Amino acid sequence: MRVEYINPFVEISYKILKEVLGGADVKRGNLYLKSTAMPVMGVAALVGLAGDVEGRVLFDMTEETALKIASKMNNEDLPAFDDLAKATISELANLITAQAVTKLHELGFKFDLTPPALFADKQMEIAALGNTSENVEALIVPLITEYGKIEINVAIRERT
Amino acid sequence: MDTVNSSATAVTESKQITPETIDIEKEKKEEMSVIDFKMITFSLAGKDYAIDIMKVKEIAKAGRFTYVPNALPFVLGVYNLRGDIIPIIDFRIFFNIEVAEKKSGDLENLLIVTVGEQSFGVVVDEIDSVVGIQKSTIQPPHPLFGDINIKYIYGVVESNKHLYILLDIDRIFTSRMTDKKQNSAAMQKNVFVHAERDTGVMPVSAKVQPAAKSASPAAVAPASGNKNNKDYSFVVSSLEEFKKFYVTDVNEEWVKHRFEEWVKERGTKGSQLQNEEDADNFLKSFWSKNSDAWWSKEYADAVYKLFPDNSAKQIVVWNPGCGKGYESYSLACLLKKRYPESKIRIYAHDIDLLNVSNAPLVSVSTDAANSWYAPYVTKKANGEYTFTQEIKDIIMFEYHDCTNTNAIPVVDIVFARDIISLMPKTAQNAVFDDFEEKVKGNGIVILGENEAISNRSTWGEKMVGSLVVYSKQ
Repeated sequence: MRVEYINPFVEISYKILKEVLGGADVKRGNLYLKSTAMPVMGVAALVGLAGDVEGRVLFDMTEETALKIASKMNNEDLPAFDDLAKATISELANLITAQAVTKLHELGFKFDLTPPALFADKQMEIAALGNTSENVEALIVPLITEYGKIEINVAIRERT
Repeated sequence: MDTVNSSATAVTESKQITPETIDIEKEKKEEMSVIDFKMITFSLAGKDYAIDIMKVKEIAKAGRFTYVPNALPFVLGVYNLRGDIIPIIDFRIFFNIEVAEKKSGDLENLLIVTVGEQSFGVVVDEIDSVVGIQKSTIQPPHPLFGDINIKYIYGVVESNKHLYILLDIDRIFTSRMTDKKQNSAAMQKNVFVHAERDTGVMPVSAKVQPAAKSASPAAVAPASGNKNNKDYSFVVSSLEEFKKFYVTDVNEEWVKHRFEEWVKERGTKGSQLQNEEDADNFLKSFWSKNSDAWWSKEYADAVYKLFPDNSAKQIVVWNPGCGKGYESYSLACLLKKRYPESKIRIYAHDIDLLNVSNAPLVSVSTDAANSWYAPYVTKKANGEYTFTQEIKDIIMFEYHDCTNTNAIPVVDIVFARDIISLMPKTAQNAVFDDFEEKVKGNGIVILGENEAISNRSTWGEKMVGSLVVYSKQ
């Protein structure tokens, strides 16, 4: 992934997460690369990217974390991972990706994004992108909050 | 819309042009839209194909080819083209298309194509014409489209209501090159006419010579037997543990030599690598010259000589393990000098996030800025030197692990110094496979000074000055 794209994603996700959690403590983990882009934790919010690149951003977390974050964002104690909670997490994904894309636009890169989609299941696998069966590398940005860990999983590839 | 109409009418009025002449002018304008690619079109089994005209030397009609026994079925034989003996390939058989029975005595249509230094004759059904198109209108092939193997198709293009399948001649002849070279060797023996001409066709060295190389390691086989072997294997595993340096056939020769030296230096008792510092010392002489630093003029000149002739409009370079960017920038400057008319693109990858993230912003030391880098740098506001935007635009720095899937296009040059040795054996093989797939037929691979490709027949080794370069056979 191009180095110019990394900072916007890291900075914006940190900033927004901190904001929506009412200034709670958010720690940035070390960035690393994964050879495939499969999410593992249980709840995944996915936003597609197009334009200068093709690929997607995925927000990966456990259902417990998702529920806690959704509750905090709505200022309500949500008992189960219902439609409201799902919509909230999708919205979080949308907020982060949209602002990151705006920042990238300011740097001169044209990205487009798709509306977010939410996947929730304990045993879930999201297969690699592209019409080839190759796995696309993903950049992982771990963010640790008091409600749990969120992994931002960016798998994009330049449009050659 | 209104303004267009009014100006059109204005034109009509002022020049008194009839509707017919306006149409003709429009047509002319359409034709004049840039034609930057010409191709020869021909047909095979009723379908239209095309080949880049730059690859075609001439067209001919010929009847009787000299049959070559034991050749592959699509090799019809050889032909004497005004003194030159060229192999004749039948594309219809090559692509498994039905061939009409030929009446002996009928002349076949031949396209004489040149790939590298070798000419081949290609038999086709009918040769049509030369068609000029805009290169940007060439579309990539659709998997369902052709009935011939998709990797031989460069693309698909439409012109004048005809759809042509543009063949990638380089791919066709390069992927079969090893077979053909064996065939041309066989052909040479069987052609009795013009026996003195056979030097032109023979490949220089068909394979990398691992035999020569393995001769020295065999000599290195320790005289003191088992203990030395054990010490050696301990050193190998310490290198892996401390420095993630993997000893395989890529660097084995150097490691064995170095081990001998090391044992002499340290004595057999002290030959083990106890810690990272020891490992660092052991590997000190491995790293290529000018690693992690701006290149000296001598080294830059030496690398410059490695670049082959290439008139392509785009030169693509893959630079895995670029570190802080010294290599990438140096390459960018040298390539700009060597291929001034082409658009250069360098994909620079590294897994050290800090290094590669700072690479786009690197400043050039004053010493370097005043040496051979001078024409490519400019002064910033704070007095420091940095590369010109033109040079910076050439390089795309990516945080990417090249042992994962490499999503890069086909490349002309691979510049991978001292990085293969830092991958485990399976990853090394995967990366070499990638080299084979991604490097163009006339492309080159440059490794570290103490690294080598062995046991891979795709690559031929050549020494240019003091540096080694690998090219595809």
